[in-house]
Amino acid sequence: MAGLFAILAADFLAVTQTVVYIGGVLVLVIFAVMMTRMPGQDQPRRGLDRAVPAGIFALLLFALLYKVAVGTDWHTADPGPAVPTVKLIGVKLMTDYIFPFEFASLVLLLAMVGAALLIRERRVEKPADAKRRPRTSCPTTWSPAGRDGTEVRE
Amino acid sequence: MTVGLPHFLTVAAALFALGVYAMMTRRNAVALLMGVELILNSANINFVAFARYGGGT
Repeated sequence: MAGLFAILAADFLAVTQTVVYIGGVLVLVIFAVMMTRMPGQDQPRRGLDRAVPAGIFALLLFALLYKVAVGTDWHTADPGPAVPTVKLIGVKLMTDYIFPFEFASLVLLLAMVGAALLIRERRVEKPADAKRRPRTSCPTTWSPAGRDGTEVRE
Repeated sequence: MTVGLPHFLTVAAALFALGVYAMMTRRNAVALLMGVELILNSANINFVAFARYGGGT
């Protein structure tokens, strides 16, 4: 997919896609593998039940989109020579789009502080439980509704 | 033949359909997020393809 972006002369997007997917989605896939191992017995039955209508729906959707993508007379222009976009994106991000840039940084900072706060609160609340179970399983199984349930149950 | 706008739109449509299929079949939350990632990537490919090849009136 980064190769597709590189073909489309969007080099900044290609590099960003590669870096983000190496970092983030690798962790996501690892968590997916870790979480799908436990409920493995009833997973194929439900998946097979809805696989056929979902596949038919997806094929119909692809047929519709393909018909629109090929059949429409797009007003295309000559692409022209490929210009490197990194400098343009940097200048635009620091001049015209400075407010969305700073707002995104603020949102990311709040998400980081919130994640750290959630983990710390759980560890202070139940020190024996946090010591007992491994630390990597805490963020995956934790949820605000489930915490109260486990507290009541224990 | 040269690679044009409909080819990229076709790839994006295939990614979108696969993402919808993954979102409809999987009940796992993380697998559902992977389907959402596929859909958002197809939208990004559409954006970049139109930005590259569009521009006529």
